[in-house]
Amino acid sequence: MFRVARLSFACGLAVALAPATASAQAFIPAQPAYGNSPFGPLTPQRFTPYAGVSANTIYGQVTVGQAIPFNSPLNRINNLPFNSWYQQRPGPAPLVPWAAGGARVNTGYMSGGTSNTNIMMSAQREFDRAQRAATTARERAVPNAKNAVDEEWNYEKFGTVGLPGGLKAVTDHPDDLIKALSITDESELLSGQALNQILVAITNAEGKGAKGPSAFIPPPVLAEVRFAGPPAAEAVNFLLQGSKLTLPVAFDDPKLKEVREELEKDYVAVTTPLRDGKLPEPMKLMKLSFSLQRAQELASPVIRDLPFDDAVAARQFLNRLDVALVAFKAQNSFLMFNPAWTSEGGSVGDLVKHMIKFKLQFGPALGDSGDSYVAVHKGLSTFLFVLTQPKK
Amino acid sequence: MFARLLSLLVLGLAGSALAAAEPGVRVVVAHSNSPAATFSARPSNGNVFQPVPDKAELFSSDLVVSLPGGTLTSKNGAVQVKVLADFDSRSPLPILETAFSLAQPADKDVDLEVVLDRGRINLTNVKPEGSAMVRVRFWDQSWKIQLDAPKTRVTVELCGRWTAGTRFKLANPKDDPAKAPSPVASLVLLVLSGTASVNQGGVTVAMRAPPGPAELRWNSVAGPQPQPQRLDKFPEWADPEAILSDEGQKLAAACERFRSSRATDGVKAFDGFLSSIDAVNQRVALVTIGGLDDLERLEKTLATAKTQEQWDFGTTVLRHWLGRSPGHDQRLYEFLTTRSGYTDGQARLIMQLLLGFSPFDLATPETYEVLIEYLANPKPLIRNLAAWHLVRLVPQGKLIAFKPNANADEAKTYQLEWKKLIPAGKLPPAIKKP
Repeated sequence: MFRVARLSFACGLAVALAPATASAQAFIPAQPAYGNSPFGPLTPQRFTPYAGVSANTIYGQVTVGQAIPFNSPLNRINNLPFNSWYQQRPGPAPLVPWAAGGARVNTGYMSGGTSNTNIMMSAQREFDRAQRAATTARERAVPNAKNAVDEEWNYEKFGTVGLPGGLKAVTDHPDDLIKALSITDESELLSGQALNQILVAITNAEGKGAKGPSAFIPPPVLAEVRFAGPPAAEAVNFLLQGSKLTLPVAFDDPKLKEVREELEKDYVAVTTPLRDGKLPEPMKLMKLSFSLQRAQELASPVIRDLPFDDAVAARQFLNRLDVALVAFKAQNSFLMFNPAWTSEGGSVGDLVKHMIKFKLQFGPALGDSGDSYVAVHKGLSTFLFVLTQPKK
Repeated sequence: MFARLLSLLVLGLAGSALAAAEPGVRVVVAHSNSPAATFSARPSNGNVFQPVPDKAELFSSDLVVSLPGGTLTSKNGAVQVKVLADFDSRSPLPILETAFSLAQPADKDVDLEVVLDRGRINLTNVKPEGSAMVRVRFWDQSWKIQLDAPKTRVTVELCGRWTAGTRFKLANPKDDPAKAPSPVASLVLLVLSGTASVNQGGVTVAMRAPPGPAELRWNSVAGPQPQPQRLDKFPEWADPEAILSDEGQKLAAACERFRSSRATDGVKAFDGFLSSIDAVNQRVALVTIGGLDDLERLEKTLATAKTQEQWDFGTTVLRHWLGRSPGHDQRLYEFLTTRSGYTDGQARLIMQLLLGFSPFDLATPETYEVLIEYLANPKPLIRNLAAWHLVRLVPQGKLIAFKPNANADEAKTYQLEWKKLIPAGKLPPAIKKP
């Protein structure tokens, strides 16, 4: 019995003092000293007994554990009992709460790179989305409950006075800019209004000669941005979606099968060269125009029998493609889309330049793209801050 | 002998306990003080409302729909309930009709237990002395209201509506019904005379008639206010001295005529008032049809509406019906698809037209384009609902002559006029706020 106990202790000690390796699944790997720890530079003490495990995750190799109480007069680490830290290995850190103590989260935002960026950003977006949804739901609950009954009754009796008129005019007023920068109303962000306000401020700053670096916007975020304004805006919206035409549910109707196929084929013929930065052939543009006209005629009797959301989606699609076609036909249509946006992304500065050139505005967010609008808002705000810094 | 008496006593007690405990057993809980057909009652296991005879007994669990002015007294004579209407649209909540059921009070100290479904009731302590206790249940709430002294009176008003733009979603049997989307409800309690205390399920607040802490509000999302609101005087809608306007008096008179007609011949009353050339009569009939859950007659009226009032106010009544309580959206959808012959797509379309549009929808040009498309839908109900919204969203459109019972050509002409007013892909012309 005593012999077994002695043997166990010796084994445990050996494991505890053995150096950790990169792929070890050891129970108690000791950590070699690193130049930097979350608590400051380490002393020449090379080994700190540490209970933890190393594991490969989708975010990279991570080691999680607890420092075994071990106090050395030479160790400047504030080794309170059961201090725990997260040890970052090459690769981005996972976005989990227990990593908050010492982990550095590398985003692809300001640092560039595409290695685990998309996965990480996707996880961060999900987390942010959930937090925002919970807060918004809570904040909206009380006013909706109070006003819902009154609003419906007033609507029934009097109708609506003063319809919301789409995008509001953007002003130079500093209060409007402050409001746009410190978003409290999510609808102002998702409508694109706040982004347009900041865009105007950036335009003014650049007009006065300000220059500066700007954040990087990755392809998934750019793909969810919607533009508004001239026909070029709708054209860019379509081109950002890819070479294949995404048709609304209305086009699943058998009555629209033939025109659907024509439309898809003609659309690809026009947009493929545009996405490569080339002019489409005039004959192909004419074909697309005819297909679209036919689709509009055939779609009306289908749309009037559709549920509301499907009917609106169908009408929006047809209207937007009609507007985009005007831009597709323009002489400079081959310039309105940057092919790098879908493969590499782009900087905020380049996006702003492009929008100014083609007089684009930010349009309302579609579907679930609120997070991308938050990301663009951050990028624009930071860029504006950089531009408005006093020159040294 | 003694054993026989004892066994009889035990049997009697068991019987009454059984009657009290067993759900669905109807017992007399109140007496109507009103003439015939003021109240209409439907047993909990029934489908049809029957007019309640003159000064008849009222039973527990029956759903009672009342015309304005109906009064009843609790079985023990302690509490009187009076039903009120909002003839002049002054009320803080839109009240069309009032409905409630009465329950056998579970607590011995409760004189009357009311399950308020919607509308407005006054509760008065009519005891010669002492306080009276009323339990009022609504939605998930159960409040005990103590009317401190004789003649103490409180009014309670409840209304539920869907938030504009809520999307209709067909219920999945596997989903938790408690988590299904539901309308929001709002309640106002106002002390009209004397003092009262209200126990909101654990928290008791003391109230008294103005000037004083007289008003308490609740809604289904935020719950009750923590404190009653102080009022210096009666609000206009509750002012006991308020005089009805001419319009209000006409409505009150029409309600009495309807009651009288229904007491004689129910079917004739509805047909007669619906087809009356007097819009006020039509309005009374429509409200009663909606109140009595007569969806078939309501849908038929809207689909075959001959007058503007039937079409316009009938839609309002149906929207009120929809927002009354959770689950009405599913009931209406089922009715449309199983008994009215609409397809799933058409039924969903109708549901959305009834639930309305969010501010985001209204900022989208295609919303108006689609509503205009619906003006040519083969189903009259869909055409009429689309037109109902368009004239509210774009008042300039009221100048375009609308016929609720238009044929296909007339509907097409109406649609073309709207297309001129709102071109495709554009928002309506902005309206200046007054």
